Amino acid sequence: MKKEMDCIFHNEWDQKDEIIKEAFYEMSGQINASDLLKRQIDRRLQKEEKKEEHSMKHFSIKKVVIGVVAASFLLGTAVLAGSGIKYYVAIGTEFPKYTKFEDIGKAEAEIGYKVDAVESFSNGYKMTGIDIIENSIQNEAGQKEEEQKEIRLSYGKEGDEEIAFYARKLFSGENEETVYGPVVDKTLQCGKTKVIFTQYTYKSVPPEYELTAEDKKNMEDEHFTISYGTSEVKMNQYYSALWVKDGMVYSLGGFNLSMSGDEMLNMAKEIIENGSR
Amino acid sequence: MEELRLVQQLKGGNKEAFDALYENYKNILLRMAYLVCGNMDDAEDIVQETFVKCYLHIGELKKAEGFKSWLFQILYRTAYRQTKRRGREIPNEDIGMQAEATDGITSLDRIVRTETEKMVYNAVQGLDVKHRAAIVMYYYNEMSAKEIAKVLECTQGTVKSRLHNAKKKLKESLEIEEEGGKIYEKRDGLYFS
Repeated sequence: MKKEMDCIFHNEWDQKDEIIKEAFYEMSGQINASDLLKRQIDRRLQKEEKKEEHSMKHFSIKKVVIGVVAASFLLGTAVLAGSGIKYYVAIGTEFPKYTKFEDIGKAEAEIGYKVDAVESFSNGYKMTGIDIIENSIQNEAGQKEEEQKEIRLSYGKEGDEEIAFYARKLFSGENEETVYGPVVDKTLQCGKTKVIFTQYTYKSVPPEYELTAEDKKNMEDEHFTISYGTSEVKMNQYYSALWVKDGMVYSLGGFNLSMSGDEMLNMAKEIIENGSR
Repeated sequence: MEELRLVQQLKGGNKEAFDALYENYKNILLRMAYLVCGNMDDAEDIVQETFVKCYLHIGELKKAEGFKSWLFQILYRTAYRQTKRRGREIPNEDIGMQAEATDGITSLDRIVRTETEKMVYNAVQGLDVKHRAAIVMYYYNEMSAKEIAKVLECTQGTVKSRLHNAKKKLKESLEIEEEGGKIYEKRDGLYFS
């Protein structure tokens, strides 16, 4: 039953309104979706998934981690020493599981190991949420060969800029060389730990998007990445700081930030120096 | 609650959750699309596109509670683009065929209803797609101005204005039809001339 206040013409509801309403129900009441419609939809989805899988072969494991910021799940190609093509699958959630820093112990209990982390940074960023990402390495047949849980902490400050911090264990076959990759804009040495900073151009496009000649040329540069799945074409700049310490991979990342690479590297330094609890 | 759970599962990439949501919404979306675009072929294309977009873009839905409005929004946008692309908003020939199709029932009830449907349908299809979508959601889905505004991505004032104009045109069309010799009176849930 409609609420009277919502029914715009409720007071004027007359015989013609009844005629229209009844006619709508009569006209459409016998229409039912056919089995063929569902089969067509499933075929379309299979095609789209194949297209996405193909396009994601351009991703490195590092860029996949980047994508988790914006999507609930993503596929990519893992770069593992001494192995063929494997797919890196990360499944996260949109909403944080914990919102207080003191709950980090609960999150660590869930993932099964402790991580370096801080509640806030000297530049004003404060923790806003903690959640868990399910990671796995899958072979080309889609079978899981290795899986682990990763922790993600979100940080924010005035102006709506957000930074995500990830911490996970190295997969078998991963090492500093494969994690860092060939694209490095700046580095910072913190004791024995090397932190690298890279700025990527991240072009989000709809699933049906056809690559332009300029896109293909840009993709030759490892700084440039195409991501399928958005409703419109959008260019984003992604800032990433990455380091490997004690068998763990740590990274900080955020889209379209106003901070410099040096500022992000200093945030990484604060985690390395003050993050052990 | 069940729908919320399914939407959350779909956001995690669960195809079975998608299938369950499809079952829940397939007929309502197909009927809405049919009422808005006026023929079954286009309606099926619109619904197919809507569900594919739903599956591929579910990650962009911020709150699971808003799933229904979001899904209707995709349907409306798709229908809007479809009618614009086809360059025809009133597929009259299809409407006529649909309305005249009989299933062998020759009772007075069926005949009168078919006449009523034809008359209303012709009047509704005389509206542009924006007004038609508002009218369908208002009468068929029994949605409030606030809910329609969310789907059409406009203000409640715009919705009220569109409904006011659409209803005016619709009733004028019905009056013209009536002047042609048919005055409808509702008795026992049926319309008799």
